[in-house]
Amino acid sequence: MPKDAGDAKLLFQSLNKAYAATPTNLKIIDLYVVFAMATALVQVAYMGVVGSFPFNSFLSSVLSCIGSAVLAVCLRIQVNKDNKEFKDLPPERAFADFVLCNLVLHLVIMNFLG
Amino acid sequence: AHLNLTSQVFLKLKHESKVEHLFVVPGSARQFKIVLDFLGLVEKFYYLSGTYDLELSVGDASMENSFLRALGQLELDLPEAPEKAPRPPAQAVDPLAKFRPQKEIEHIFRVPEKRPLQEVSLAFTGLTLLPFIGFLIGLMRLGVNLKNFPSLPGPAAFASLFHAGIAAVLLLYVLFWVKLDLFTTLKYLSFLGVFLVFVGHRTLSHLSNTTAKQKTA
Repeated sequence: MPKDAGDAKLLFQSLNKAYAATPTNLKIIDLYVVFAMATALVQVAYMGVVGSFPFNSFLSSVLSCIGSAVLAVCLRIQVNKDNKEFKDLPPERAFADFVLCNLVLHLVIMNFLG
Repeated sequence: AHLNLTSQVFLKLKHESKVEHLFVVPGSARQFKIVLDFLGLVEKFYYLSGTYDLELSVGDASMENSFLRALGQLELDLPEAPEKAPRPPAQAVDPLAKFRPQKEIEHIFRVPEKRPLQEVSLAFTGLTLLPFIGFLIGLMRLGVNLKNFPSLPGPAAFASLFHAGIAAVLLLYVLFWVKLDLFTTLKYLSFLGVFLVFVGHRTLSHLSNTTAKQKTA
């Protein structure tokens, strides 16, 4: 129905406008999350095509993507100035945690990759 | 010799495959006689053709000198066994046989799993890099810049070292995947980690100080 389509378009445009107002550093983190998820999808598609023979490799790659995405989301939560809960946490500290957790995650998945 | 009726006289036919058949020889005080009709006994003999050893066994409770005497050998050429013929009973296996050298076992390696074609793998490797390129393009469109990189030589050096340290750790991980084992990796990682903590702390605290100063100024 045209009214519904028009409503959906309006909703989409309003969401877009609100999103454009977010600070750039948060947008960078969002872009990184999208990148990680897209890579995970490519891995799953590959497994769908060729079968899951080295299953640990598949698990390692998918968990690496999802883990990176999760860490990025945590960083975004902690860095977001609108978030009252983390008001006293300096963003550099959050970034340092992000870097450290990423390094540990990548060590584990490199070990599991086989 | 006089034999009592209670005597036990047995005729034993033993095939080369150790299958044995015992026949009681009936008889009177004078004479013990047995007639073996082999054609009728074909089924009892399990249709086994070949050489049979003949043995005569005579014994009794009242005899002093019971004996088992080999009488010779007999070649029997029996007809072929039909489909439904009974099989001869399994002969007792020497219980010590399992301690003697056994048949040699040939090791068969596990058949390796099917791998995909190399073209498919390479195609998907390219596909995996696509999101990363998309990420870089998105970064450029968002206007990512290095303006906050410290301009003073001291902090700049630490910032560069911080980035170099992270790159070194990632390079170590690649080496770990290709060549090293976990222990070597952990050893080098501990060195790099200590270095990175020190350098990172300097860099990030400098950065937070500058942003704090910008906020208050």
